[in-house]
Amino acid sequence: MSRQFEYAILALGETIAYERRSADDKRQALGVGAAEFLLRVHRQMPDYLRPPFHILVLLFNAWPLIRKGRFFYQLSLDDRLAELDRWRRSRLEFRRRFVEFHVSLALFGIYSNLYGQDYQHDPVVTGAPARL
Amino acid sequence: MTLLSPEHPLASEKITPDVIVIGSGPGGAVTATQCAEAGKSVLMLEEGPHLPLESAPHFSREEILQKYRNAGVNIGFGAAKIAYVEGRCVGGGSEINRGLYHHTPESVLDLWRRGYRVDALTLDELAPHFAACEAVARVEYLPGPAPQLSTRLDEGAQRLGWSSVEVPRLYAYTKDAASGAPGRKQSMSETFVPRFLKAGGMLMADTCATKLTHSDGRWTVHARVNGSARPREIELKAKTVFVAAGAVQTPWLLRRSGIKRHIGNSLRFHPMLKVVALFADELNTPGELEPVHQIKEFDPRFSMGCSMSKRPALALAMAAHPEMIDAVDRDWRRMAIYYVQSTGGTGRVRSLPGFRDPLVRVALEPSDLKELADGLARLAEVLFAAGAVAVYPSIPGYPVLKSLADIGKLPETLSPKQANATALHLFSSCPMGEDSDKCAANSFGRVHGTSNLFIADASLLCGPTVVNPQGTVMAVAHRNVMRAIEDRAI
Repeated sequence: MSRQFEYAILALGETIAYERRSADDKRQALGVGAAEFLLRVHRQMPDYLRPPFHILVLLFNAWPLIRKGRFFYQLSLDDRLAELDRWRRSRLEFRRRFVEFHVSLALFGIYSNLYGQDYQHDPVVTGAPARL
Repeated sequence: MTLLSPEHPLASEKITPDVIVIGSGPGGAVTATQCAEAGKSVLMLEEGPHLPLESAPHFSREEILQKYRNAGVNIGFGAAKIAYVEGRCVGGGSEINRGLYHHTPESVLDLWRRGYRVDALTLDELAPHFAACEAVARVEYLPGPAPQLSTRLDEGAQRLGWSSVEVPRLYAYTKDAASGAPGRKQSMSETFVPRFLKAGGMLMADTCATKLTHSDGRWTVHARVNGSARPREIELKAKTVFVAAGAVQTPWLLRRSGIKRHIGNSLRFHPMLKVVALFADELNTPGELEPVHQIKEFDPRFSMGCSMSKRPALALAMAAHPEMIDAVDRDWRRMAIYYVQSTGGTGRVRSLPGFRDPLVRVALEPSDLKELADGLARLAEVLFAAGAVAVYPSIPGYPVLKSLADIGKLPETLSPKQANATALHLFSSCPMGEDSDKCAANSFGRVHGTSNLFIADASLLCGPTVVNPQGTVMAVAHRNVMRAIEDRAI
C-alpha cells in the first residue's frame, strides 16, 4: 500500500468519525481506529479487487486537486466533510458506492470501539433439547 | 489428537492418509469424523486458522477480521450485486453463523428428487442422519423467554394471523454462568472437530488446497501452507479426496483442477434485505441472547426473521441513512434489525487467471427483484403490527417508513443497482443426482466421471433449502459418507 493511500484512508476515517455528530472528545481516536479497520479490510479483500480499490482511493484522494489544489488528506476538516458529501450525492454511481462502502465499514469500526461491551452476556439457565 | 503445525516435518509429503478432506466446515467436519471413526487414516485441511470459539465475540469487528473470508468483503457481480460472506477458519461457516437449525422441508427434498433424480433422499431416509449429527452437536430451544426483539416479531405475526415459529439453535445453554457466557455454541470446532481429533484424525490449518491431480489410482492435493512466515507449496497424496470447501471454493478448486462438467454453473443463494425498526419502548438490551423467531407464512417465496442487533450491527445497518446515524447512540435500546430473505437468483463461479480468489457472477431476474420488494413491504407491515414507529430499509435512497400508509411509497420492485442485497447461505454450485445433464456428482456426492473424488458440502444441494441450510448440509454429508463407507468405496 502506498503512503498516499494510507494518508487518504486515515483522513477518510477521521472525517467519517467527525461526521457523526455526537459531541465527544474521542472522535480523533475513533477516526484512527476506523482507518486501521479500513486498512485491514483493504489488505484482506479479494486479490482482484485490491488494485481497483487502491486506484479508487487514490482517485478519491486526488479529486479535490481540481477545485482546491490539495489532496483530500491535506484539506481542512470542513472541506473534507463537504467533499465526502459531494461524493455521496454524486450522479456517478462509482462515487456513491465508494462512500457507501467506506462509511458503512468505518461506522461498524467506530461503534465496535465505542460499544464493545454490548458483546458481554448475562447468565441464563440451561436449555431443553429440541424436539424436531 | 494430531494437530499438525504447518512447520511440522510430518506436515509434508511424508503423510500418506487414506482420505484427505479439504475444508472443515459442517460438511467437511462431519465427513472427516465419520471416516476417522470408521478406522480410516484421515487428514483434514483447512485454509484458515484454528481458533477457539471465544477468540472473538460473535459478529464483532475482531471476528470479521479473524474468521471471515476476505474480512467479509465478497461480491457477486452482476446488474444487481450481492455481498456474501463465508467462514475461513477451522469450523468454517458454523463458526460465524447464528446456528439456527432446521430439518430440510419435505417439499424441498421432493423437488430435488424429481428435478435432479436424486436417489434415497426422502425426509424419512435423512432422519437418522439428522439424529446422528444432533447427537454430537446439540440443538436446543432457548431455556426461557426469547429476547424481546425476537418475540416482538412473533407478536406482529400473530396479530396479522401469520405463521411464526421459534427456531432451535446449534447451542448448548448452560446453568454454569461462571464464564459469563450463556453456554457454548455448537460449532464444528466445539463438536465434530474435537471428536475427529480424538478418533485419530489429523488436522492441518492454514493450508489452502490449490489443485488436484490424479495418477496411478491416487489423488495428489497441491496445497499452499500459509502458517509459516514464508508460504510454501506442498503435495499430499491419498486414494480418496472429499472436497468440502463451500459452495464457492469447491467449484473454484475443481475447475482449477480441470474438472468442469456442471461445476460452478448453478450457484444459488438466499438473497436478503435488512431493515432497522424503531419501537416506542425499549426492547434491545446489552447481553441479550440471539433472536430466534422466523415468520414462515410466505415460505417458500420468502421468510423473515430478526438479526443480532448490537450497536455496531445497528450502525452498519443504518449506514444507508447517514443523517440518522446518531439515532443509534440515542435510541439503540428501541431499535432492532430484521430481515427478509427469498430464494431467487442464480450465479456462476469461475477462477480468474493470475488471481487467487474466485470470481462470482450473479443474476437476479426481474421476478426475483419483485419478490424481494414484496417481501420488504410485508416485513414493514409485520413490524408496524408489532408496534414499530419507524422502519429504515438498509437500502441507500429508500424512504424512512413511519406508518402503514408509507409502505405504499416503496417502489413496486427493486432497482438492480439499488438492491443492496446480501447472502449468508450459498449452495448448489455442484448439484448431486443421476441426471447427467445437470448434475456434477451422483446421488451420494461422488463426482461424475471420477473415482474416489467426492464433494461434501453445500455445493451438492440441488437448490435453495428455503430454511437455514446447516442442518441439511450436515445430514447430507453424513448420509453420503456413511454410504461410501458401507460400499467400501473408501
